[in-house]
Amino acid sequence: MTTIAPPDPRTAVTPLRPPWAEPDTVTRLRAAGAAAAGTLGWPSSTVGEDWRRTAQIDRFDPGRFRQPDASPTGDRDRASSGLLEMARSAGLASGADHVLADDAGGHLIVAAGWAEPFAIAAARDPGALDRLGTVLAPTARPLVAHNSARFAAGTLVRARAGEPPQTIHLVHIARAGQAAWPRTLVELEPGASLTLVEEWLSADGTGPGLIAPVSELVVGAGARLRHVLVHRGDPQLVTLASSRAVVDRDGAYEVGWVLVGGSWSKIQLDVDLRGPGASARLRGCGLARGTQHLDLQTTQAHDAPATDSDLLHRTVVRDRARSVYGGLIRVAVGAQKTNAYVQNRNLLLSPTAKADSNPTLEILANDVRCTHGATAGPVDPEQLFYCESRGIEREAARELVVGGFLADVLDALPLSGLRSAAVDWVAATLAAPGASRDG
Amino acid sequence: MTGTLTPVATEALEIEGLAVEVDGTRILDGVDLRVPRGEVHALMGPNGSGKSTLAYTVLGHPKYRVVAGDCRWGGISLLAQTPDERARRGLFLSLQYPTAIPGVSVVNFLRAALKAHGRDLPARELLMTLRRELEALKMDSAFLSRYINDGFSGGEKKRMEIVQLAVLRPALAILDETDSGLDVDALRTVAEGVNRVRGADMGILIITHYQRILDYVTPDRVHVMAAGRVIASGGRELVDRIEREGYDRLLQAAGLEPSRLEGAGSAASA
Ligand SMILES: Nc1ncnc2c1ncn2[C@@H]1O[C@H](COP(=O)(O)OP(=O)(O)O)[C@@H](O)[C@H]1O
Ligand SMILES: [Mg+2]
Repeated sequence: MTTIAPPDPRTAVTPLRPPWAEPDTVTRLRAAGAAAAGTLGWPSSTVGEDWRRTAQIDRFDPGRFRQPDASPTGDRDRASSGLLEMARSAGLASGADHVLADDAGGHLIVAAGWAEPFAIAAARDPGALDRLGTVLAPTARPLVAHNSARFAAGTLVRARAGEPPQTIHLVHIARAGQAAWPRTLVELEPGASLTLVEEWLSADGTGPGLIAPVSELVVGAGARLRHVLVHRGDPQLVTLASSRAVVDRDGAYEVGWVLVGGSWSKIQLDVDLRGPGASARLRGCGLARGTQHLDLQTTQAHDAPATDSDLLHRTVVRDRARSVYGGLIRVAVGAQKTNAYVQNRNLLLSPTAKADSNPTLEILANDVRCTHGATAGPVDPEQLFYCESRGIEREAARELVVGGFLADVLDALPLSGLRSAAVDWVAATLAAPGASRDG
Repeated sequence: MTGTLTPVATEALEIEGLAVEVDGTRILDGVDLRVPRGEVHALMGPNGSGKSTLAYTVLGHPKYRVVAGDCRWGGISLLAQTPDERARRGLFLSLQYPTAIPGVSVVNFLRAALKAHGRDLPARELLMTLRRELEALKMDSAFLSRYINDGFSGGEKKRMEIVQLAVLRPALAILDETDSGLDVDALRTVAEGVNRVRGADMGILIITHYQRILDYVTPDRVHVMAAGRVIASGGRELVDRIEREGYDRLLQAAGLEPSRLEGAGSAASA
């Protein structure tokens, strides 16, 4: 007796046909994505290093989730205004901004600047999306392959030199039972400057969902992109995100992240310094509690001489939660006079909290300065005692010390509204009831 | 909770037969000491004699385990109270090695401390108070936004302790070697700071092993500690005697072996 197994949705991917007229380049990208999903296979914790400590991926089946419908235009329906409210309350959107697209395709665009949904961009100019897949090729990683085949909606953001400073807020949403594969393409022309906030959310907390966004960021010569990733999804949201910036000569990429939500997450964040004088500053924090699992993997690729990068990742881990960090600095042959730094520090608030850290260097040039470091441990009892000896109660003392631990990454965030919102999210996460927090 | 800070004639730090262990090692071995509010006492003694241990124990550092005796403030035992409760009852410790807390600015730290003491000052008033006290200690107001003790020089840390003393105005302050590591000018500045807050409503215990600071801040009484006990108490003249003779004669009089103690002392004073 023979049974024919149904196709495995983890490797057999049918390219999506969105209800909008997509240019041939995008159709080809989808086909390449589907092919790469087959050849690369689904990620595995036992193959290679990337997923070694996030075995959740082995059991994960994206086929459990529905694709959201791709809505070609922005209906400002009730749901989207609710989401806009959410974005506003988080300090992410001001009253002057306007909604360009709703969440039907997994996107909410709140823009004080130039941004449009792929459907509209492609209708206006069939060449508008030509750079899709050039920063993160479908063959780069299995999840990028999947996203390339499956994305229903996306956002194109552009900035030119001489324009007033722009701030774009993108909210990527997965509803319960949905898998959202949102795609974002950001192009900063030479000399341009832009602030981009991307937030991953679940619109309702009624069941598990998947959000698997891919963002491709092109930072032109002398341009400056400030980028922030915010994760406040509900405890049933799985997040598998990829983002890569390529930075041309003298360009600057600054990225911050505040990751406080979700059930388990794998976030792959890369910067590729391709032009001499390009620089990147990467600063963020993750808070994990309950049984959350937060895996951040970063790559600082130095492909040109005289490039600088500097990364700080701080985590605070409570209860039985776990943080995983993998950070690679890669300096190519000939990328002399490069400075690169990666540091991961983890504060463990309970004996059952865990942090794994693995910063690595891969250096093929000889005239460089690269350093890395990692620490993990409980709150310093001497710091607590010092606070207490000044009358500050133990819980308040702990809050003060933990807040201090995160201060330099939170202070580096752009937008004052975002900074103070982030302080509140952190405080709420720390104050939430949980298991033992001694340590 | 803020304890009663009304001066009471009998309000005093009273230490009786205090024995303390650290990691299973007996460090204090029956300390008796009384420091009434409104008086300045000096506590001297060779390195390793247990002075810092006593100071930490009075504030309730969890590392120090009291195995016998008692320690009272205002007639009520401190032993069952947490360090923050003791601080809110009016106790203060200027640490021999003040702790840095990266990411926590001096303003935020002191705002939290004042709030804990029930003095939640409006932002403007807080800044004015802190600026005034920094200036008194000859510190730039740029220190307000620096992280507390982080990257401070030894002398800056000591002065910041006195800034905190002046801001918090405790009922009993223990200054653990606040004078050591200071140059002459800084020592005078710190001593002036202490004299400014000194008064009928504050008791001060100055731990030191130099007579220098006592030239500026005149003590009402002087105690000498060795081998985890107070072996001598007296007036100002005790300081001069130690200055002349060192600790040896006092140690011998207490039946202690001088050389052994000095050896243990220098080994212990990291
Ligand atoms: N963790 C410890 N375990 C054992 N002995 C300790 C520990 N910490 C301090 N001591 C000892 O306690 C004694 C008193 O130290 P301390 O109170 O710092 O003295 P002082 O301040 O008078 O110089 C020293 O002999 C020191 O070595
Ligand atoms: Mg000492």
